[in-house]
Amino acid sequence: MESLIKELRQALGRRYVMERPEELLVYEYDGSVERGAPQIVAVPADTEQVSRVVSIARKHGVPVVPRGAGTGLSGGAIPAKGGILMPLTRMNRILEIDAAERVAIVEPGVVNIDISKAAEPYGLRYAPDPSSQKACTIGGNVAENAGGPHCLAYGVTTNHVLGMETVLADGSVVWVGGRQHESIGYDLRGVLIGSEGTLAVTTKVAVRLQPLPEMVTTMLAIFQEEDEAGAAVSAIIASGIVPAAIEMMDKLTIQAVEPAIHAGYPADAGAVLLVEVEGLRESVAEEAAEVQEICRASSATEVRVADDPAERERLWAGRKTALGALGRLAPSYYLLDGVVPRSRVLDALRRIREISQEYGLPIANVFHAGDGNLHPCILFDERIPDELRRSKEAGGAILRACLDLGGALSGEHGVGLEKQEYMDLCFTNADLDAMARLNPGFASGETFNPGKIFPSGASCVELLQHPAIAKLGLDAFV
Amino acid sequence: MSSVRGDVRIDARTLQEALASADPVPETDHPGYTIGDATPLAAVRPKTIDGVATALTAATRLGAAVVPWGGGTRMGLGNPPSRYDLALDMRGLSSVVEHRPEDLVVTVEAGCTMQALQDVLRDSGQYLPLDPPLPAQATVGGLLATGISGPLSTAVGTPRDQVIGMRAVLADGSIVKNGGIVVKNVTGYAMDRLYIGAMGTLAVIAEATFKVTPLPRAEATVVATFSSMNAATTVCNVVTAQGLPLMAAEVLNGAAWSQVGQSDDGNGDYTLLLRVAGRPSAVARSIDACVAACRETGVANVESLNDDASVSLWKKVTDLGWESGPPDLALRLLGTPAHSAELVALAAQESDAAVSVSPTRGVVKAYWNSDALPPDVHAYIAGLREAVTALNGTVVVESRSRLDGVDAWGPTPDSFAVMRQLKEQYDPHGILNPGRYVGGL
Repeated sequence: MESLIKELRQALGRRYVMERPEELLVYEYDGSVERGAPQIVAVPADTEQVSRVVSIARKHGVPVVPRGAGTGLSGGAIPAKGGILMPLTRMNRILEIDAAERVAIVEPGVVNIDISKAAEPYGLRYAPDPSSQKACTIGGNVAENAGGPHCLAYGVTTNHVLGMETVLADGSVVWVGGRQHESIGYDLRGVLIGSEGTLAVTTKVAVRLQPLPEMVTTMLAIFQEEDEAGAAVSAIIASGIVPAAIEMMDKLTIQAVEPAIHAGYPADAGAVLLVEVEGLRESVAEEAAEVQEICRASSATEVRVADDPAERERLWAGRKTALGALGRLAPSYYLLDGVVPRSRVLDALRRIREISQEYGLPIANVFHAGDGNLHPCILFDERIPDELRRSKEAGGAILRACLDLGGALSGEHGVGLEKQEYMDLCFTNADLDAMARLNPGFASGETFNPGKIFPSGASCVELLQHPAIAKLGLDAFV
Repeated sequence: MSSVRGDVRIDARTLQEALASADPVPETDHPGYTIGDATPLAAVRPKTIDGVATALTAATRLGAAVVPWGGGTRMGLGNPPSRYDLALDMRGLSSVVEHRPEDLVVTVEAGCTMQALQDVLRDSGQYLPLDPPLPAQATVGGLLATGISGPLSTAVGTPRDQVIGMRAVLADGSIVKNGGIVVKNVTGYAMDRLYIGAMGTLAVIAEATFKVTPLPRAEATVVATFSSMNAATTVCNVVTAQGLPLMAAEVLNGAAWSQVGQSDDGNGDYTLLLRVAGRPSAVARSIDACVAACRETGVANVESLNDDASVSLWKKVTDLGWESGPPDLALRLLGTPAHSAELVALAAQESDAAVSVSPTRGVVKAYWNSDALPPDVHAYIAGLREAVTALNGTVVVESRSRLDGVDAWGPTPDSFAVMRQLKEQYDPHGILNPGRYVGGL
């Protein structure tokens, strides 16, 4: 251990290698309810230092867990087997914006929204926008193949990343993909995206930028019944409109949000839909009119419309503060990420309500309705030990319900520690074996983020609601 | 008949007997599976994924080299297989398994042709934005195995970007799946990415689930001819930056433009095609914007084609070079968008290639028929490769009538060591399309 720390300090400088318990404490949790402490935190400044950390770790036989901003919900950044936690947040430079080619080359620690901010003067943006985009890093987005509200129209991280510079387990540095839109050879870029930091470390990312839309219209529709909102979503999709985003909040969420931000939601509202359309003026105007018509035909009691940024921000406010507001209803919450085919969203909500009654725990829903990505939030009180256990069981029941409806365990946060024990519900041994062969393919051994994704048989990390998360509020994470 | 691999002799009769339950193709039809001068010892055309698994299990047991077949339009892509014992014809798996219009997803078997799939989708006002040449022949599995994009990739990227789930069969016969029927999914590794574009060297793709898109209500194509490639790409960049609903943007050189039957006097000219789609009002505005951008460069001759005329022009553009079977030589140059003009100049130097380029993506396609081939094709490709590699680009031989000894892929990428390790993991006995892909994978 001592020689390991000494070598790391030689490589990174003394202050960027931490080992004292009080220094490690802040690195033992992320946006999930999992917890696990590293033995060492090493913060590299560049690709070469990443490579050296990896080589030193390999030599000493300890794992390396790469970490971005720690906003993930599945425990992806939690060291399950100790070792070196390697935050990439010092590597936060935007190296290049090529407006003509619509490409940006950035370091992994760059915060998602900062790419769009840097691209804006050129009339460009980076499309994937996780709700945590003010905090989450592009490296983390790549690791989890992150989504966001606007992925309905534009796709997820993998559709916008052209290539990455990566450090492999032997410390070698290779590009997978690149600035080119097409390259030859196996799509290593494609398999590394969403591999949850288990195969390689990303040290640079080439992202595709797209022109800013000429016009954006946001609509907020209030419904008495959840079914009516669900019918509106289906009708919008059936009309051939693909909005940039369709978000939904259920009754419990609305009841938490209204006292917090006074958005003017009626006390008896059953659901609120947020629909955003963007593009050329002409089509936005027509599509917005049609969306309003559909909402009214689906018995919306009120439809609010905004075109200018400040007004649009106001309509989004309820959605964006929803999870923080839920904190008013219970001391702890367990936020899930599941996904169902979009036409089964109402069925999923019904099942979630049944599960809520079965386990005696309130569950609020605020989610990406357009692509079926649910974020059920189980409210509980950790001071009652039985509630903790029941929350976890209820979460499992919800994930099973998602699978029963033809969905999947995770839409945008990955499997991590949280869901590894559910993997054999949706995959056969052959499926999992095919996935597991990637590890020897990349020769990564136990080097990167071990103990994740695959069923372990024994989970060493307890489900815990960390006080710091309660303080921050989960809005930073979804 | 038999084939010899090292000390293993594969007997045709043994192989055929082992495949008796996997829908064998009669021996009289085997010549249809000839590649170059190699005819397989056996051929099967299974009707189910289990049949595919049976065939691959038998092939693994006997050490037989397998070449998966789709519509056969791209058999010239890559190097000839180093061994070839069994043709695995996937066209027996040809059904659209499930189309869920309300979810904008479709699941389809690998042997279904792109045309048949699009026909099913069109009935619900939807389509899959992938446009390989010869869609009536090209199969979904073949398209995914080659991973080749067409002009529509301007807006939506490559075939990889449309796939959300897959079932494939590994060399050992195990049937594996990943993804599903949901559009956002991070549940396990994205194995489909690895199999797509791998030329069947890691697994045989049996079924795929795609995101689909509503058909646009209207579309149009603005056609403008420029005297220089640079002028054409400049206009293309101006238009792209405006955020117009661009479905495709291609520039064709004179030879290509005359090959799609549009004119025969345009040598030296470059024709820019801008395809826009959406609501009629947005299309009308987009046409105006495209025409204005063209006019600003002083181009006199700008026209626009609406709906059906636009659709049929793009059919020809997509089939370019492949109208009457594989061209005598087809090259694909992969570079950055900024190098588009340079790549076009390189591809067309000292020869009469028909060249088409997607300037927003830096992808150039060049086609030669026998009467237009460069005098020394070997030297030509070697020289081109050197120049394109200097631009960090790649030259891929997509089709060739006779080019023995020229590697189809050129220098291997930096990450080749990982690729070779992956090949060892997924196909340890090297029975899947051996030698066909990059670096002899």
